[in-house]
Amino acid sequence: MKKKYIKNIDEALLDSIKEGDSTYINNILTDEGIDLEKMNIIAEKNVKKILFLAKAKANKIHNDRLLQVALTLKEGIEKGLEKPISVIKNLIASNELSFQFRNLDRLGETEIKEIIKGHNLLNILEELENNDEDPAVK
Amino acid sequence: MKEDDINIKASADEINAAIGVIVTDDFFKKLIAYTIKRLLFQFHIVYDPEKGFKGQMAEDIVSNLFISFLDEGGRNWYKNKFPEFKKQIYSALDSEVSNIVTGNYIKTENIEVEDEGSVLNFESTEYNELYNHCIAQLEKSGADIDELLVFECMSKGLLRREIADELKIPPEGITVIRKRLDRKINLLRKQLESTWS
Repeated sequence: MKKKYIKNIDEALLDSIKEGDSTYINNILTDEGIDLEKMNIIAEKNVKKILFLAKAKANKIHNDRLLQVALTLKEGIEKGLEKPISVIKNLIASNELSFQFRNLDRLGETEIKEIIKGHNLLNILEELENNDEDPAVK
Repeated sequence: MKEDDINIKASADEINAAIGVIVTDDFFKKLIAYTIKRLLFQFHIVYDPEKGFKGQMAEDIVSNLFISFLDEGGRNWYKNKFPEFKKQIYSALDSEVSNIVTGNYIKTENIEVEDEGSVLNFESTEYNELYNHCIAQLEKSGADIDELLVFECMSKGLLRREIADELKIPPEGITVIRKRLDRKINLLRKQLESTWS
């Protein structure tokens, strides 16, 4: 009974921390013998590191996706599939790059990445989803 | 978002975005305070601000926790169980602290804080003796009637919103009262653990 009683009090105190404002948290840390000035520096440094890593991860995900879409489009163009060809044509037109990329057969991975960047990659992937069923239009 | 039999896991994009929103200096310090208190309350370990515990500093535990959500094959955010990422973080922190204390370095997900298995019987003599003892101690420490009422709810396991509903006081008002109560309860808690049989 006593254990459960104390546990309830403990959970309520932990709940206070979850809900607490910065003054309340600073008081707790000070009570626990933490040097607040040092802790502020440590927190700032760690937060910068975490946010940097999160951004790096986001960039990696984006670049991987960009490559995936570019390769799917390249493969589709090489096979002469209707969907990938119409997708890339529309993207080239919307980018006003039609003069630069007139010959689709010669488009490499880098050029395709250049064309699709800035567009919604998930939408492009969705559009390409059923391209295997498309008839060839060479 | 990926689904398996029971859990809906957030995508890496969703985790990145959530981390970008919630990770601030204040939240980081809040998790440090939470870690130190969790060690004390659940495992009776007094944190050493210079040496940490088991060679680990609280800031490293918290920092590594976030990084484990970013790692391939690392921790997951189960959106069905924790729609708010913050709640997932607290659950993961509980399991991380528990793993370090018990020396179990195999990742465990969403550990539930150990339940003593007993339910408080508010009608029992033992409960009433404990309750009266605590109220008397808090009164001696200068607690007013609001603080005593909030304490009663806390000891029954009610959290802030539930206490607010019970006492018909806004949740913000409960926070103010709990701040006043906090140090008194810490003293009471220590005294309860050491003396009450």
